[in-house]
Amino acid sequence: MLYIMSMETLNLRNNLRKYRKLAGGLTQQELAERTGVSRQSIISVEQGRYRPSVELALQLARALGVTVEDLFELASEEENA
Amino acid sequence: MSTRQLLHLGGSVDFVANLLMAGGLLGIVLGGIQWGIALISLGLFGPYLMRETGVLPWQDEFQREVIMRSGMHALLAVGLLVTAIMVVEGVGGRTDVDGRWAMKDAMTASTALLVLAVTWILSRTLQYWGTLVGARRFLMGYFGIGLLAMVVVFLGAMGREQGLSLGNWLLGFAQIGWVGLLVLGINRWPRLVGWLLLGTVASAVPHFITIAGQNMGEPAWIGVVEGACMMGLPLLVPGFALIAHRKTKEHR
Repeated sequence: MLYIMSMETLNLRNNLRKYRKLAGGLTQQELAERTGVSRQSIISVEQGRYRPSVELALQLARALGVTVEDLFELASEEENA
Repeated sequence: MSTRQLLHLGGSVDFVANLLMAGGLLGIVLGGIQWGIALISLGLFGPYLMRETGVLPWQDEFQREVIMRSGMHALLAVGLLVTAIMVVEGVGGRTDVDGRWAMKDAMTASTALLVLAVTWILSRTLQYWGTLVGARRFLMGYFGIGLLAMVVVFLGAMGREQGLSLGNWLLGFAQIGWVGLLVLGINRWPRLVGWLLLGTVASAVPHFITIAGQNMGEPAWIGVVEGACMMGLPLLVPGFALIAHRKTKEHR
């Protein structure tokens, strides 16, 4: 059977808040300044309301000293249930 | 120019744009409609015209996506309204030859600009705040302003013989109360509340048509359409956002 992975069957899980805290309790503003985006962007990514571009994901990972896979991971709908 | 300076510059331009829009609104209230509309358009479109032509950089990718999506929502709102009016005009064949109001005249340029601006601003704010928080704030504001307006008008009408009947007053307060009630369900049943908001607006349409049909002239009908848009859009935009919220659910 062919399974088509669409936006509705995959969700993006992010650990940005966790790694921000692990990185010495970095504030959202500080992380925003390190990555060159607005604080609103960090809030939106953290809350899962915005999916960052590959470039921003890499910048976030670099700023926090982790890999992109540490920060973001895909989860299927079944895992969410 | 550093990223921080770019963010600061973009924020300053947006701040000036907001001041221009507020000034334009004040201008319209004070009677300077042409200048008011010019200022609102300058504040509304100016910064994004500058960004699209490369004069001013985008603050970041999140801001760009929010603006793009708000623009799409505004396009949908204006496009659907224009289509609906044109279809009704064609099907109904209403003309003002026999003294009846003309549907084609109900959609003026100012109505289109109003719908575009209100939808765009609501959508943009909703995306910045997040759907649940934004919808809750919008509805609480709607409830508060609506209740205040009802009380003021009610107190103003006391002692006069003419005015709305008791039934209409109760209906008005019940509608405002209904919106207040929906606020309570946003977190638990966002999609249901979204549908109920759309239903609330849909149920008000016959009411507005009745008002417009009561021997009103063309200017009054235009006012009714604009009034309906102003009252309906703050419910419709969060309503659609709440319905879509579940589909785009992501982990927090």
